[in-house]
Amino acid sequence: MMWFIAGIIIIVGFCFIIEIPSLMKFKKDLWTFVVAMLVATALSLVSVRHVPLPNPLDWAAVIFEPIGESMKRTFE
Amino acid sequence: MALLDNGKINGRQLMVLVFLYSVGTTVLVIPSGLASIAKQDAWIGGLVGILLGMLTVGLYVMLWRMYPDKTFVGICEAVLGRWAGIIISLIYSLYSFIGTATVLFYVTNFFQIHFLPRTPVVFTCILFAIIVVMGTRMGLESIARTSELMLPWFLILFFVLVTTLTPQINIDNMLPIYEAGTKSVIWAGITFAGTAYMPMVFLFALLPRVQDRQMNLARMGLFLAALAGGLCVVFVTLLCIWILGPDITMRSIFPSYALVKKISIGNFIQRIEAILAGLWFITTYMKTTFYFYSWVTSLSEILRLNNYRTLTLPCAIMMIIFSQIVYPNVIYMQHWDSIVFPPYIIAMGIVIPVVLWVIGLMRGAGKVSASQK
Repeated sequence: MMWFIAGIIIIVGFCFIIEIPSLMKFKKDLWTFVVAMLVATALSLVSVRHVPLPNPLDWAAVIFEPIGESMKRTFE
Repeated sequence: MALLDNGKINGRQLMVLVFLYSVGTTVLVIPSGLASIAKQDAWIGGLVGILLGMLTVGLYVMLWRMYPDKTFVGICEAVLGRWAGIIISLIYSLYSFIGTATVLFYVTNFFQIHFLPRTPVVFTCILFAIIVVMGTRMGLESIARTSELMLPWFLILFFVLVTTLTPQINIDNMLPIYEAGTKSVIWAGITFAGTAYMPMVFLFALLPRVQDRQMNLARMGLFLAALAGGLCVVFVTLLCIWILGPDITMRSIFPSYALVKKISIGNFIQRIEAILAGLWFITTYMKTTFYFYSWVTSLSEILRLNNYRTLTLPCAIMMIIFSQIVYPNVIYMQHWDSIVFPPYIIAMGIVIPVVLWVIGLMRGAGKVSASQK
């Protein structure tokens, strides 16, 4: 567990080192990058600890599963 | 709106891309889906799918002619106005995100089952994601040239696959023809078109970057490449039916790989499937890269960033995380792919482009661009 967390922090740090110098001129890009990176880091730390994350396919299923079932019934 | 990627590709490169993209993951999974719907008539379902797919491609070409210099996000904003456009664009980018995560899952699942069963799946996932991100960061021109370099390898491997399997063909497996009936065949066709052709809506991220002296020819090339890709997949399905039979085809997760394992020439040339797996590496790489490219560029166009490369690294991390959770198990995967996926992709691949096209037509967008020429 500790190794995974250390690995994630190293990878994230590496991403910052690669990306930050080219973004210094563009403030909006810089802030978007920092926010997106923080979200990604939080998600990866959460997923390392096996906390169930919401699955986007379930959201799609809520809307499209009834339609799909009726389509399938029509064609069989 | 300035384009985020200054790369330009020509008509021939677009054809190669569309060909590899439509073969994509389709060739890996679709024979099983088709066979479970239409049994030995799976290939007829595939042909119906190509027919539906040509109509879909026709729709995209019409939309592309109407807005030749806009990405999907740009089209949404031009047609629906700023805010409604942003909502549709966000849904589009969510779709390409789900597409990236699921395709990445397919690739790593394939790797884990057939090549690296003892390696933790997240490591294969990270390795594959790294080359996808590399390609995306280098830009469209590099990906286009890579695809041109890969095409001969694809064709050679496909040729080897077909010729080495020919001696084992057993035509009796496809009899009786048309037992499944019209309804099943149409449903199989919808599944096929949904997997192979409707994801081409995500190629709107690169269509405005196509520069060719003869744009009409480039647009015709789109049809030709899509047709060739579909025929390749149908041919592989037909080989699966001929050699494995409909029962084994519908029960395997990756029937085309099971097919390649059958290759045996004089009990001497055997087990060459790991070489032929290059076919699937090439095509799935193209598919994952373009889903990812479309996701990152659409998101950065919505946010009005200076350069889409800003988002590639954080998005790559999210893609890896979500590829681990999108399909919790195989039962879920097969249920989702066979029931939820067709209406899901029709909503984005057919309904929204038709709405955009009709509203665009009412606003007279096509006439303006025609008169400018």
